[in-house]
Amino acid sequence: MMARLKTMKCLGWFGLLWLLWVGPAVATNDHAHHHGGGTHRAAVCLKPGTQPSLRCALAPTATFDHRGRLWLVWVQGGHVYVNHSDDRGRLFSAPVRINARPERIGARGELRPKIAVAANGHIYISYTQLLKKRFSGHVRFSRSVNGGRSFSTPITINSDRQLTSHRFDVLGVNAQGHVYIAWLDKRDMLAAKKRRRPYRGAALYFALSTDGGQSFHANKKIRDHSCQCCRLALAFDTDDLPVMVWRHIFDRNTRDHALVKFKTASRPGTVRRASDDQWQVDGCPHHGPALAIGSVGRYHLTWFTQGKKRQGLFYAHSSDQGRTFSTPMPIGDANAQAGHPTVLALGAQVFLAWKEFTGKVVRIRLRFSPDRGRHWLPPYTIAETAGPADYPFLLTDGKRTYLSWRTKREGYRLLTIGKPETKP
Amino acid sequence: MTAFPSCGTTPGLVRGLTAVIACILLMLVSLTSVAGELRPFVSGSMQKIVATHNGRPLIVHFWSLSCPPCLEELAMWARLTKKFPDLNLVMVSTDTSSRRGAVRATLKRYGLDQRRNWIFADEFVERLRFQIDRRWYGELPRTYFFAADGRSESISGRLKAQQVEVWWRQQHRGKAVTRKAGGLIGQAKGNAR
Repeated sequence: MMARLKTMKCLGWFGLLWLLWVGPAVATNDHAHHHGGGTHRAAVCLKPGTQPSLRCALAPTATFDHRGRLWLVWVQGGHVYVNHSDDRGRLFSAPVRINARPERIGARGELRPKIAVAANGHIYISYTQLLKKRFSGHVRFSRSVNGGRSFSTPITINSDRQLTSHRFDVLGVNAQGHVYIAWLDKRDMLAAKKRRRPYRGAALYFALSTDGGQSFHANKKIRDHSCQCCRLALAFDTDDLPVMVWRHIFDRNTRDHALVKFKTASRPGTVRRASDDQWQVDGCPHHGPALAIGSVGRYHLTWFTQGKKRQGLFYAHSSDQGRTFSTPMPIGDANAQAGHPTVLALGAQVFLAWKEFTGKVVRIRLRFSPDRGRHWLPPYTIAETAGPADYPFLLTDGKRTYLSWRTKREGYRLLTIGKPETKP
Repeated sequence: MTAFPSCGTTPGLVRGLTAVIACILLMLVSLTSVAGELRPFVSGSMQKIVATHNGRPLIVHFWSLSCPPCLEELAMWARLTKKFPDLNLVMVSTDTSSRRGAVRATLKRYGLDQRRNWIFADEFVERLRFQIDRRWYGELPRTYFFAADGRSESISGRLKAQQVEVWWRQQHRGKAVTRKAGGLIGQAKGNAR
């Protein structure tokens, strides 16, 4: 009897110890990883109340303004922040917070906040706010009209407020100051569901502001049946009108790329097929394209596919506004996970960069063309890291080209791309 | 306050030690079940999973909460596991470990929580994927079929239940997966048209 009591006491003590040790470790921590993160950052970044800093920044997007100032937008702890640098990323200003109230924000992979600066110095921000229901979100917008000292309270751009997906926003401002926001929208899928009709993917929508972001025209649909979770590409043609490229769903389930060039400021033109790879897959590539348009109007497109016709990363250009494209050129090492490309045109020069993993290090590879994409030098490595890394982004201040890249070990870096090498 | 209990004086030492060992075993067992069988998938895990099933047909299926077709397909896997209780299926969620609660809840909703489930637990995702398959770029869902004769196939995108059934029955009949109809990949392409 006494021995039994002692055994019970022992069990009780061990049970208490177990609860104290294991309990916190198995407590579910189900807030969105986009909000609190957990990938790629130090533990201190996850603590509420930690000061905003680039060290803790998630999904940074960078752009240069017309005066050569570098602007950065990023996410930390449920807030979007903006800061700038006047010495190409060595020193940054104190971050300015966009949203006063915390939000769950898309800040991973294909989802990241966007920034654009107009010729008049207005700064525009867009981001995807994630809602409680899975795959649902709203497109949010904010602007600064005082050089980034403060930002307007974010507004929701999508007119449809149903608990469904309005995500994967892309933002651009042209020389006239017109602001374009495009995104992937599932209101039509929801409507079809109510009528018990099938509906594949999402739809591409856009909104336009012609008064510097003060107000937006009504949402307009560009096309039904886009692939529902890849980033969009947006660039402005020589006529200052937008061109967009996205992964679309052709036929039953062929996830190749589509392109649209706007006819007027508010009217999209014919949607054309930009890639014909015959990738038939009922799945999520999570791998969107990139687009740049050169000074004489040549479109430079780069994309990922695992189609029947070709697999891997590819580049092609078009000199007739997307009606026809050159033969796709394979880029990158398919055995090194080549992916997530970025492309930039500066005069006659074209820069193409992408991410690879050698088995040991992540590296960013670059190819350069001196003649608008006709000829290309062999690829070479412009940066690398021995740990996890974000996607690479190329940007220019009009004179030089830079790589904007965040990695776990090194944090955020803006690297100047020197004179392109001729040897691999 | 009660001092930490002595689990038996010298005469009761054996009984005391037995109780301590029982406590520890209880803790370990309960830890496993509280963790909901969501094992951490890290560097080397794929090799371990494949090695453990050496010579036996095995399906390794990658999915994610962030992939709508993946979630639609979970119902199919649930039906298949009921139809073939010995289906050698290992499921790996590519979500970050911070989402294990939602992953577990989703698996439970489909009755798949008692299967062998793993979740990515290494932030160096590039290296994880590379080790799994150099040619896999992260598209989801992604399924690997390891046949009894050592051959393997991988398919991106949703599968039809029939594809899996045919493959499983063939494996159990001892026939190798033939390439006449392009194997599983041929079937997958046919379905996608």
